[in-house]
Amino acid sequence: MENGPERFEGRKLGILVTDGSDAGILKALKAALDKAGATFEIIAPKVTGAKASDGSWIDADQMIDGGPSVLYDAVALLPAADAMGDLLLESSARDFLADAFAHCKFIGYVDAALPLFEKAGIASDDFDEGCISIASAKAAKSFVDGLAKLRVWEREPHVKMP
Amino acid sequence: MAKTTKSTRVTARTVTIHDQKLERGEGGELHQTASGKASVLTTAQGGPVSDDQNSLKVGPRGPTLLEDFHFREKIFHFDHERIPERVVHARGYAAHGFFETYKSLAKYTKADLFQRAGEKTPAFVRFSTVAGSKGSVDLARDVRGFAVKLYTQEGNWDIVGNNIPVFFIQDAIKFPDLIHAVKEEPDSAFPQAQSAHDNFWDFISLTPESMHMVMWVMSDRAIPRSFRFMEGFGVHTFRLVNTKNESTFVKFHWKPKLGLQSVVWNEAVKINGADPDFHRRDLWTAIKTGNFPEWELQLQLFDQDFADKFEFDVLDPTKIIPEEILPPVPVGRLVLDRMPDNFFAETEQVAFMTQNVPPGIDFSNDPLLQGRNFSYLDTQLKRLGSPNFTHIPINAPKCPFAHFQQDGHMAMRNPIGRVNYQPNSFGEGPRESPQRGFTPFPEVVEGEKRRLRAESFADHYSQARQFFISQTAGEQSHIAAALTFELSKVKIPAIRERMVSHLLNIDETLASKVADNSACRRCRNLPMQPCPRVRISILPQP
Ligand code: HEM
Repeated sequence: MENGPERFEGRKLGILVTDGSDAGILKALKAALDKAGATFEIIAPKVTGAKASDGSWIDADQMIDGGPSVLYDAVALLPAADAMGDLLLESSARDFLADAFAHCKFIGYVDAALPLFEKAGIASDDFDEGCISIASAKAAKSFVDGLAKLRVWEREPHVKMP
Repeated sequence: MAKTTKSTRVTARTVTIHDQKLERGEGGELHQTASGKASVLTTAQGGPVSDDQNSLKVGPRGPTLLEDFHFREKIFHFDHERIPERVVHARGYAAHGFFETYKSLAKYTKADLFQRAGEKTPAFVRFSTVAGSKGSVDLARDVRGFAVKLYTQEGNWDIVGNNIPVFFIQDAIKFPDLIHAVKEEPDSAFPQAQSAHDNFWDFISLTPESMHMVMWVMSDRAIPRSFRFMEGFGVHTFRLVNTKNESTFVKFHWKPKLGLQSVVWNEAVKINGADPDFHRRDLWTAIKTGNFPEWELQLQLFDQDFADKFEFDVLDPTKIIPEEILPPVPVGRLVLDRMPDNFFAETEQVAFMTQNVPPGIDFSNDPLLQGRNFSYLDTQLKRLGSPNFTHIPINAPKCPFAHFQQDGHMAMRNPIGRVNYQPNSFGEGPRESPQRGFTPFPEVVEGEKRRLRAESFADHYSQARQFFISQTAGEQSHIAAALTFELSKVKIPAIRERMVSHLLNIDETLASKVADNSACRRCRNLPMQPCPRVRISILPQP
């Protein structure tokens, strides 16, 4: 940990999308990751992918069951409000977030994802500096810049008994 | 008599399966036949094969004929596909690359690869876990092997290291015991790839020399995020020897360019289910997408005088020389830029051996290293099956070589010509070279022949403690959690208590935390005695 690299280069972000995910935010994330020398995988309810807000198609790398958050260094939640009904039924989506939180990972989210936090047992006053709103392309970029820290170790005492 | 037919396939019809056109045989089986670009399937003897879907029978429903040489050869070969897995470090993954020398180290060593700045030496590196079998998971809590083969112009040099700078034991004679204890228990054959069981901790709790290593193995280093984010260490003290036959002691360190990174235990457990090949996939993907992992080789260099003054014995592989006392100097970089074309041919058949050193690199008397120098050659005969394992391309030197070794199973190249011995009067064949050949550093050694552990090896706790207190609060709590978890899987309370008695010598807070959380109901109340710090004198055995 101490000898940590303070860079996200060579690391991987897991991006959870649904139909209707914001294409602009996704684009900003990808560009920032590319600049950082990092990679990403797209996780969607179905492996075929999802249709973004602007009608473009997002190819998925994993369906939600096949891409648990343990496979990524940090996660971004980009679901659209309309898709939340289904996502809240899916325990893998809940685990995706609950594990990312428990493993002290950075979590970027759009407002539509907030109900998933509740489902994952993360109350609003549990939110810490590692839970970052990425409501705009600009916010998405600064989220990626902050990933260099790799983990939010300050969270650990709150998710693990002494 | 069965009706004779001209061809095995009586009537073949073309069928389409989604996007593929094939032929269909009598029994509905599908045949893909050679045409266009596809080459003709042959036996291993080169004979073309007409039908690879049906064995030769008497009539369509009759018995299979012994004369079907294609069938017999195919099954025979398949039956013998497996070779024994490595007795340790069975699960591993490797890549090709190169080592680039920053600047000449001629002052310290005559090793050819260190003479010229910018020199690139081909390399093959295999990462591994220690305890699990070949098919075990990547995120076991375990030491990682970090074995580097450098194909130098004066022979292969293998730095067979780990991602932790110390080891469990001080003398190679204990290695079989250590490995037996950590591997699955012999009666139940479980647990697989886990140190969290009675036998391991029983052995450890009776092996105080392992305590420093135990601190490292319980730290985050034992659950790395990726092979790319690990350090590597040669562990032992070696020697560099220059053309004037002067020796400098050396320890080898590999520092990852992208830094160190680990996962947390709860995550590791889940990764093992979600992607048991997590580390393999990570290395494969990185290299295949042009993100070549890189390490810097750094050396800790010191002389006899430093060794004499250092508070621990530099021949003791359970000790480090702290980098604050002796900063390592960068001497080159290792880049991995190509995955093997075939896993078995290269990664499985590669044979690393500590005794592979070129002129200019030499051993120290570290009794663990001395024993390894026997073991690694010996084990290859079992695993690869022939003394000719150096003929396998991944093990063959990439420099000119010549010797009179011949014959044996699977000899690929024998000496050519009349002469296969030396001296000879025909003027043929290679000859020894006192100038270029490997000459050991002429260290003066004397003493009584005895089975004796040096007293200078007897402090088993100081560096364990130093390591523990050097960790951040978060890292310390990971160590406590790891010990708690491991001991929670130990059924026999006395073993857990014994471990706590060692921890008391390392750090009292750690000891009481582990005792409290897992170790035992009894030692919560009992005033625990730390176990004796220094070895009580045991008479040497003849
Ligand atoms: C500092 C202590 C040690 C280190 C760093 C170490 C490291 C390694 C590594 C990295 C490998 C895997 C090589 C590969 O990737 O193919 C390995 C394999 C092996 N080690 Fe060690 N080891 C140590 C101690 C020992 C000792 C004391 C012995 C025996 C006396 C031993 C015997 C073996 C054997 C037999 C193999 C299997 C080799 C093969 O089948 O190719 N090791 N060791």
